[in-house]
Amino acid sequence: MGPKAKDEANLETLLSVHCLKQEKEGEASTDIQWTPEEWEQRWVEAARKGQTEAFERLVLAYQQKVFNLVFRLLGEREEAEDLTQEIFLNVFKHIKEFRGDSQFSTWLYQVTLNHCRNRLTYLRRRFHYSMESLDDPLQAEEGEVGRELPDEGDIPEDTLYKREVRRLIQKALRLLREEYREIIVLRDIQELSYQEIGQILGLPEGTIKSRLHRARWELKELLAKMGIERSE
Amino acid sequence: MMDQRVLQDACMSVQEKFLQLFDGELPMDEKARVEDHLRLCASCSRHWKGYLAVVQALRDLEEMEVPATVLEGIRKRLHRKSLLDRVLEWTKVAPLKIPAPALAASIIVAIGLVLWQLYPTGSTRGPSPPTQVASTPIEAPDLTLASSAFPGEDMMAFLKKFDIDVQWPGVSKTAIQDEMILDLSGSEEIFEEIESILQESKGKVFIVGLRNRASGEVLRSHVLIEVPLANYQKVVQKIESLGPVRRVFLEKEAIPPRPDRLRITLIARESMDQYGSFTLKEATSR
Repeated sequence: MGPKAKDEANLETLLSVHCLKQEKEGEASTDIQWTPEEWEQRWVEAARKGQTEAFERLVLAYQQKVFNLVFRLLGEREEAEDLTQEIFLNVFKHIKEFRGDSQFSTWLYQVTLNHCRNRLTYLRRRFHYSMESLDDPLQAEEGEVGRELPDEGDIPEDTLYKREVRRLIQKALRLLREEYREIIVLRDIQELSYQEIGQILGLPEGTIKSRLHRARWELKELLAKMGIERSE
Repeated sequence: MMDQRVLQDACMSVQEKFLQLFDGELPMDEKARVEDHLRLCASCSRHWKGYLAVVQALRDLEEMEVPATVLEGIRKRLHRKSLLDRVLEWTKVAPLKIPAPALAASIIVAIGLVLWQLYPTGSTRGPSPPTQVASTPIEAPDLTLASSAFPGEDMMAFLKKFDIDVQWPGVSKTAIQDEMILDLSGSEEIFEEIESILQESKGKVFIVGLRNRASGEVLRSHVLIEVPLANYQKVVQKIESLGPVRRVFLEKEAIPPRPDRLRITLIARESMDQYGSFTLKEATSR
């Protein structure tokens, strides 16, 4: 009898043994040849039964995506670290509510977006973002940076332009309307398909595309106001 | 020279096609028309280059590494057991510790009686396990404990309804008694706080749980806290700072149980020294 034929009652033990084996030997078990999607399904099932070990596998698989999504939406590293933890703990708490009607990742993205929206509302209420303007210092991946650019010598103009765009983009994202920021992060940073975004946001593809177009346009205009419009 | 209005319309039409042009979704003839316009119109060309640059820059943003503290934090909080979990755990193992005759009875409901003595003096118990966050709200009980001079008597009376024989030795005089209903919503760290308050005030906490043995479901639980009289006011203030608290005082106010409420009975004792421990002779019910 192959491992796939194991009944549900054996699932927890099987997963548990496999996970331990992987950790011990530092390599995947060779006797179980499930696809990553099948593994994910089984981890979700085991997590639904309260297995923290299986849930940790899901955390490992998705923490990078979730953390980056949160950081781009909130724009602050510390907030992103804190909220990422909160999101995963909340997902574990409510994983029984995930019925498998969609991909686990879709549900996780929905939960993440909801948490981000709530956190942004909370931060706005506490005047966290109220004083933000184009002249404020920037929060980049490496921390806060000023508007002054370093001496860039002979670096080609195109490279300089791209670098400056990258530097300012995080700030411009924060100035965008929330729905525009979300769609840009999902499509252009997380590079999800229109179909996936449609499922996450519950919107038809046409709406997704027109919103994305307006969002990109607005971001372009914001960046132009920040003084990085490309001159001909 | 093109008419200004025609040009504006043409520009608008072309700019609306940027997303499709970027995605390569324009039909060939449409694509050729847009590209022709971009060659002729400096303004649209500039917009298109800006559009391309923005999307490219977004896609070039490097993915940030997740700090190790994120996973560590999740692991830590996933694995630590909540006070409620400890109640559940205890109520599961409790019947096994009960003398055999008690088990012979036909059992429908088990009552778990938990005694955690935090930082006990002269107790034979080891130190309490690390305090944990309660991830599941506790259902408030409908016990009536508030009006007695000695809450242990009420507690025993309640337990006796279920054929429980509890001895509660080492009784010292009760000075004050409060009953509070603590609103737990949004207060996940509540049990950590309570235990740290007790640690500071050298208090003790007792948790009474009622569990359906057949289903394993804990039907109710109630936290009974005893603190030295000298620390009583401080403890009250701290508990009240945890969240919305309803004070029942000594009235038998009817407050229906709700999953997001925790009922706490707070007792001040003049002396905690004489306080002994429970002897749980039987914890079964018919």
